Amino acid sequence: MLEPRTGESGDKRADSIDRRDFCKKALKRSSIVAAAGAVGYLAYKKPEIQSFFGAREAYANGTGPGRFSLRGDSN
Amino acid sequence: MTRRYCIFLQTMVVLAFAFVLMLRSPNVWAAALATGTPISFKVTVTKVEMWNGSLWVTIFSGSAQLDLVAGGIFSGIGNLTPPEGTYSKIQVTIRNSFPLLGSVNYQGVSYYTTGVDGGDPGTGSLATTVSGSQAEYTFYDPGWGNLNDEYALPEQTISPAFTVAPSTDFQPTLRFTLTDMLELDSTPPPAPIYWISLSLLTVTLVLP
Repeated sequence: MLEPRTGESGDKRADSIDRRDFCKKALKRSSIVAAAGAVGYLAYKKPEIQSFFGAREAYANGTGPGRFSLRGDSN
Repeated sequence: MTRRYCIFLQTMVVLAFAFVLMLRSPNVWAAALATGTPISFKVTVTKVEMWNGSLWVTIFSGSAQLDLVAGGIFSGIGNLTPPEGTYSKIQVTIRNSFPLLGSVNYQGVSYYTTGVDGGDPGTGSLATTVSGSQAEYTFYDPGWGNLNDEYALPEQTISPAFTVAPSTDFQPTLRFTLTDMLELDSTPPPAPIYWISLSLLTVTLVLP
């Protein structure tokens, strides 16, 4: 008769706790990575977020939209 | 006899041609006494449009005035952000109304513009020799329609085409030729009345 497949320990209860613990940690790591990614993306895309980080002007000057001005003079 | 008649006819044709040319050039008949350059000349831009390859995009619409003698950027048409695209033509619309200040020196006497008509409204400013009475007079160019009409200057090709991108800063210049554009005229003596008119305006849009 085959033993039911459990984890390495062979203890069903311990394996269940290990798995839950692993899932929790994986979830935590994923959320940290996702949050970091989102902040990085928004900081790159949105000047307002840059201003939150204190670098709005530098960002605006470097990657602002094209500009148009009409000058006037005489000769 | 026939030959002489031919020569006479030819002479008449030449004289008639010369006469027509003189009629078409008022300056031949009424040369200005003297000319001068405005010290202030205000121009109002009402619209700026650019062609993006399929339609005219309005970059500015409203009323932006600038004294072209001082020069600079039209108030309200600075640091605008055009919609993304590549533009190959531009057209500027101005108001046919040019408030100006200026004077003309004639035989050692300065004649200044006033706010009073010295002829048809908008075409001649009654002149004064009192500098303290100098005032702004609003001219218009009858060739561009009525006073305060909007006049679209000829569209101009942008070459190379202007592409809106993060680092682009497109600054064309509206330039009027104002040197010696003021002309002093008068009625005949013994009690001449002086007035200042504006010769035909020349405007160009200088692209960067």
